[in-house]
Amino acid sequence: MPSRFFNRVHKTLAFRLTFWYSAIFILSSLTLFIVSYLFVFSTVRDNRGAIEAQLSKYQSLVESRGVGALESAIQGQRVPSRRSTFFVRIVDANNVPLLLSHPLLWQKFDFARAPNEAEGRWHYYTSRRDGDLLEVASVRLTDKKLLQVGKSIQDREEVLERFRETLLATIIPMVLIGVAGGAFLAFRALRPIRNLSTVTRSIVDTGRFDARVPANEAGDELNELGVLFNQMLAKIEALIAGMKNALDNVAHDLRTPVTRLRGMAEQALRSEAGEGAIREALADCLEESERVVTMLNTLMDISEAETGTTKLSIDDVNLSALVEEVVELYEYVAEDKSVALSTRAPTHLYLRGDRGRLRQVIANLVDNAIKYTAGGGRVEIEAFQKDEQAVVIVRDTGIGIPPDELPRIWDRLFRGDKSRSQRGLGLGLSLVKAVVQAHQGQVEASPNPAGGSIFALYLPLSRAA
Amino acid sequence: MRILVVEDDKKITSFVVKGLKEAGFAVDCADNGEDGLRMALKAPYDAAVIDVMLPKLDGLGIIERLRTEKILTPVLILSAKRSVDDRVKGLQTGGDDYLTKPFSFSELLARVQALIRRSSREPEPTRLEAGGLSMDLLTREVRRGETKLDLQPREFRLLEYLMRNPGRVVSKTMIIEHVWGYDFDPLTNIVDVLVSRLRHKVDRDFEKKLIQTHRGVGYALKIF
Repeated sequence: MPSRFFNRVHKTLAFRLTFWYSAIFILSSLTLFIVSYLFVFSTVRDNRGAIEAQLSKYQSLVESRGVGALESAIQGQRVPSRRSTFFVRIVDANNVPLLLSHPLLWQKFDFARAPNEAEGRWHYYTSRRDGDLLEVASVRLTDKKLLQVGKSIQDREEVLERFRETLLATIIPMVLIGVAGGAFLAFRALRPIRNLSTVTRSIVDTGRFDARVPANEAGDELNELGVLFNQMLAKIEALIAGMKNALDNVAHDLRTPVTRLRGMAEQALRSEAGEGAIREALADCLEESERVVTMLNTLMDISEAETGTTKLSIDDVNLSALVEEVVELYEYVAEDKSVALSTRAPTHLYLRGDRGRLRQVIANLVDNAIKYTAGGGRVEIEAFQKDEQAVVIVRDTGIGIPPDELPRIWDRLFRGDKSRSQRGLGLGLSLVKAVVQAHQGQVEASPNPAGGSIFALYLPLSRAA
Repeated sequence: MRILVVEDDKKITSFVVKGLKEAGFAVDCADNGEDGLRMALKAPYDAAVIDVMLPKLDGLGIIERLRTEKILTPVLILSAKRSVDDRVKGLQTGGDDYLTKPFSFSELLARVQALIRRSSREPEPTRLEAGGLSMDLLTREVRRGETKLDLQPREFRLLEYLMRNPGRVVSKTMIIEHVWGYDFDPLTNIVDVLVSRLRHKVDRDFEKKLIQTHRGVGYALKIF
């Protein structure tokens, strides 16, 4: 059990962040300590170097200006620092001390004896108390006086010792600060992510999409993620609502034709009519069921286009070819009704859209135009570029749309009073609008001054063309 | 000619099997994917009608297995999904044709027959003859008896399609697909208008009317 808990903790981002933060913090502090220790060590260790330097300085001072000058120089040193404190002694040829200067502490050394020449330049005085050594260099001056300069070895040991002690004393707080800092940082940095996962978990658990990630003011990357996440949630929520709505509509809209279907079958079963009448009723049923399917398909198309779930296969579509295809579909129908069908479209215009869907849109408009135009009338399709958009106009000289019905023609299943004489589902224009809007376009209807109606499509032009 | 039908809805299976038998086919059927696959692997069929959503193994799974086993029986996929994506997916898996539910039986029959014809690789005829009509596909000359008929391109294509399926009902959807090359629901009376124009040219001056309307189903070229 504990091992599993450890496993889980150890996989968390917070743990890893803390771990790395502490590791880097501790490592860099240690490095800093080691470097400074080495630096101090090398400086302090250069005891002899310091003594030599001091010795030659004092030697030249005494030889040029005498012992008095050295004495006043030493006394002139205010606040002697540990590094600049030296043991200095001058004795004459008969070992009579002429000058003696050293820190009080160094009285522990037994330096009564002056070394003779044979002992060489370096020698040591030992402390009677603690075995400390005073390292001393001697030089014979020109007037036979002996100048001695020295420094205690314990000085450097003491510094280093201190250093090591400090290091050991700081290492525990350092580790603590590292770990605590890491944990704090990880906690702070991961707060937006924790919020995100809390919200996500609540959505997964409850299935409700109305939860939102709280925004922070930092405006950083994680905040941006939260904002994007919220936008995604809003979009999903809208989609689900749209689909629910569409499903309700479809269920509602199908009830009427299915009722008709049922009625026909029931009546045929009940009647005493002969085979002919029953065959007739069955054929009616077939036709009605065909219409139900068409309606269902169209309703699905509309809903998908409206909610944005339609997958459009976007391509560059030549507008005049598209118009030509629609005319090919309808030329016989128009001819049959003696409606003049004419087109005017420049060949260089390209749309950005789904070819099949756009054809369906134009076909629906032309279908309506021909359907509601009496023989001898005209249907004109015109395409042109206006600003950054392609415009397709379908103009007819038909029955027209009463002004009070104009805003409602786009509604599902709306059929104007005058249009009821014609077969139709009342879905064509809803589909047109939904598909055009799915293409980021617009569609407008207006009365034709010459009688009839004008439908105008505004669609995005292809940038490539 | 043997046909395999794999479909889990009993009513649909029964009317499809009955219809195919009436059309002169021997029919076997299975109501789940695994049985269907086993049967298709064992016996050679001239064509198979396979539903996409099946218990145990779905229709596309069957087709995939058949194609990896190098069994090239032509397959008509039945599906309740009608999006272009689903259709493309079905055909890419190795299906040969795709029919969405609800469908009319005559359309299913016509499609099955077209599949068998295509896979038997008979040489393309250059002349079609049916019900006293003759059509030269090279010179595009059409005669009824001795009378020459003057047809426009789409009228010609419609008549050709009817003559290739003599005595069989073809639906409006199939006509739109063949004459205009589109597959969407006929909006209004595009097909009716084309058929009545053709009928005018083919049947007006003759006692026997060849082009028949089957209400709610489609049209057929009657052969006497």
